[in-house]
Amino acid sequence: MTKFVSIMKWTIVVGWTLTAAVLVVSCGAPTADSARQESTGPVTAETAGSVVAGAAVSPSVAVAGSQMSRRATLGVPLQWDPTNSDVDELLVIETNYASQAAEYRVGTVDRERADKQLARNMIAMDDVQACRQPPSGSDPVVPGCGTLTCIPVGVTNPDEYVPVPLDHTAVDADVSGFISRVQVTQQFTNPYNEKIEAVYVFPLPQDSAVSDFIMKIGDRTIRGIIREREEARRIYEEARSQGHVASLLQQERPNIFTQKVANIEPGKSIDIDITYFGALPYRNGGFEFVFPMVVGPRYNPPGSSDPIHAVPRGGAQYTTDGTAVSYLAPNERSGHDIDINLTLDAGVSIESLKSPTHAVTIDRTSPVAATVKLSPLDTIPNRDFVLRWEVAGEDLKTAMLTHTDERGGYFTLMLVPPAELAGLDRAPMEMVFVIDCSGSMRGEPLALARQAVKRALRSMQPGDTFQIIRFSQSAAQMAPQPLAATADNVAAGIRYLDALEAGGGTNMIYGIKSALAFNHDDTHVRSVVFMTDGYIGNEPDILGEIGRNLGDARIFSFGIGSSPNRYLLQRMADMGNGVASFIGQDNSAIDAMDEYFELVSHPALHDVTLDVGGGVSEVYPANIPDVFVGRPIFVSGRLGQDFDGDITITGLTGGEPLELDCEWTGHGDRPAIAQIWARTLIKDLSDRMIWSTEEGLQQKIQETALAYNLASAFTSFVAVDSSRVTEGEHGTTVHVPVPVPSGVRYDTTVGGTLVDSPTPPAPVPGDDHIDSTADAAGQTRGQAGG
Amino acid sequence: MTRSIWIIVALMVPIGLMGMDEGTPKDTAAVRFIPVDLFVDSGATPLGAWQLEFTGHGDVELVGVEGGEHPAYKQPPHYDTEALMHDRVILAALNTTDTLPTGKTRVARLHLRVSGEPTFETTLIAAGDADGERIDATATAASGGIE
Repeated sequence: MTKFVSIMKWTIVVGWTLTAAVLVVSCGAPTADSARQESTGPVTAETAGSVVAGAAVSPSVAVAGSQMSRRATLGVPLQWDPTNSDVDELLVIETNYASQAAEYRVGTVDRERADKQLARNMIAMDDVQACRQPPSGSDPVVPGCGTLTCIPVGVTNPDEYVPVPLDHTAVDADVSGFISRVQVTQQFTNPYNEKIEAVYVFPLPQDSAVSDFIMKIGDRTIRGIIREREEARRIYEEARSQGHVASLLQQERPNIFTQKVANIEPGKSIDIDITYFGALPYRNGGFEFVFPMVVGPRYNPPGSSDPIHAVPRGGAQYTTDGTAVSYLAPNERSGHDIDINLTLDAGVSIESLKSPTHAVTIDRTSPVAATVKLSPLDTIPNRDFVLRWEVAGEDLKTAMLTHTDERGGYFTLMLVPPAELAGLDRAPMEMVFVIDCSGSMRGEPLALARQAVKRALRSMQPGDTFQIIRFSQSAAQMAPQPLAATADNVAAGIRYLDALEAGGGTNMIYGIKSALAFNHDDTHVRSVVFMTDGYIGNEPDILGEIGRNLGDARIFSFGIGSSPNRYLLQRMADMGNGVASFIGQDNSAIDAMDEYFELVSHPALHDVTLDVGGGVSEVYPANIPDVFVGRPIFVSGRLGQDFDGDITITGLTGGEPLELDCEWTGHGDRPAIAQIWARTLIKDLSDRMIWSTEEGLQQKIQETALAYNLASAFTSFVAVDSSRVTEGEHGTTVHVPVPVPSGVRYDTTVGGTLVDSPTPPAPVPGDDHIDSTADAAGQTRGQAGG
Repeated sequence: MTRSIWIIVALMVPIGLMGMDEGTPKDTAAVRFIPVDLFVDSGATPLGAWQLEFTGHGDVELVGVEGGEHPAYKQPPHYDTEALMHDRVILAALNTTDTLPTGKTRVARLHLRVSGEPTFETTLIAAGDADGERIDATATAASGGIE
């Protein structure tokens, strides 16, 4: 029955009459017509002075209309299963998000009529029998705004609301050029009758320099202190045991953090403000601001150290090592929501600005500036938020930003690939496609990967060769050696792809070893194309393998799905001297693969050197990466005392030297540049720690992080309110459960702990070799299917 | 916000073991957490900026920095991270609004983890008025009390 109920439900954020009017005025909410446009996917509808972009996946809805003629429109394709045709009537329920109040039964709707409307992702409230207004004052924040759900009449157990100690996450971002400053406020509240410790595992961008940490208790504000990791943990635990309100921010991975807040008394609230800086990537023809909202369920191969466990709600306290992420079951919901406000000053004319992942309101305040707000109808934190803007090609230039303070000078350089690269042809290529076929890839993710590789096979040139490797519990490849890209071989490759199925764990190490192991044809450039969601907990093993055995191959990583492990994907590409791309809501498989071919169809600029008047030092990445067409890179370093803006950048392409012009806007007060340099240094040292035996790296990371007030693997923020001791014991530890990412199946990932272990896929027709070293039984209880 | 703060040593105020308010654990050898309030007295001159060093002798660790009581210094001041690496607490804040405190003002509250019987001293490094001019001032510290 539970499964049946989950299929039969639509979750709709619904605004009643008053709400709709308010939204139209204040947020630019769509009219009924524009709402219908939204239902077709990521379209953009102009409203008075603002733009509303449609969402692609998350259940969200726009509402408009006069009293009793409301029309709720889903912004996404519904998960409607037509096989459930034995239901004649649906019950429409509104549940208040803000207060998590009891359900309010709006009325019933005829199944047949509902089917026709829901096929268009909408429901006309006129069709709801006994349609009623919500109780007065049902939501103190937005009157009449809650969650609208349709369930079969007679079902008495709809989605179960799970009270959680995290109410809301507010994200305020300022973007200036290619630098972002982001403040994340997590609002913790104790909904229970006893004192608790809240534990929340959450993601941040992998290169974010977390440099400020504030704990707010009522109107009091306490700045946290950066300490060595173990010292911070000890301080926190002592304060917790003595009854003080305290908080601790630990980095588990560069893109995964744990927030702990101790001694939250019943009914009390504590806010945590986290501030970070970052340089924004340029990909797919535009700059991107990405805010991840949820950590995907990870698979940890047996023997993994420091794992990231994926556990059902309530199971986190039973993990004894690593980090546990607690997940809501498919029939569970929490009231935790998110809002995002972003101020953009691009510095140059913005040609286009949109979110391909979420509904947003956009206010273009000038040709170079805009404000962006996440629609209140799209606030479920279950997938990455992506905002993309394009600037005129001629406006995108290599530029250096500098900052000087009492510590000296710093710079961040955005190196834009020269136009000359696009005029050169590439050498024959040996393309190795490595596809993740683990349980978390089941369904749409594998379909996207399959679609992308098919596109690639059909785009290959005569003289190219290819290989396909699949992995989950084990690895297998299509042929003993790469095949020539003939029509017959391409057809065979497509048949091989069509036979792929997903299941089992993610022993990515077998995939990467297979991709790098076989003999290389020196007449071809080897390009390893990795397709995965990256849901593993043993990232260092993968990166270490790349660092040690890359040879002269390049790795191009493609993150699949709504919340991929961007840290792993980006680092694989960085260490593999390639680039990372992402396929999912924000980019189609076809577009991503076409961009990849554009990247590799021209030689890269390599052996890049900087010659700066006054000298530069401590430039990171220490090995400046190659520069591909359409993919600027960032380099950070220290400036000499006599720097005067004289910058010369040279590199080699096609064996010929090439010199690049560079803009410098003059000295400025940009402390973020110093923080970004320190973060880049830490990233470089951390990568070296994975594969190098060099000593002293941890110490240098720690010293850098402490000196620049940065969270890192070896430093944490801690804050204690010593001025008050709460009553009683420190209370129960409550792990904040999160939804599995949109498009990811609970039953093949987290559900592996509840049901029989996922079965690895059967051999694929055409498999040349099954890696017998992989332990198909390695998937154990307590492991995500990855 | 372009005003500079003059780095001078204005006054050093040593403070012995501070008396503990009611509610403070009586076992002073045990690890405990205590608040310490920092005050700057600028007399009749509005306090536009200040910088001071707080030093703890004994087993003392800074575990939080809170703002003061006057709205001008309500936000927690920033601390010098490099100094903290050497067990020195250097704090600074400035405010360019028209509403600035005069007289003795609590400018910050430190949250400390201590054990044993530590002693503290506060050194005013610099203070300035609303126009950025150097002024004479004194800095003191006192137990913040525990609820």
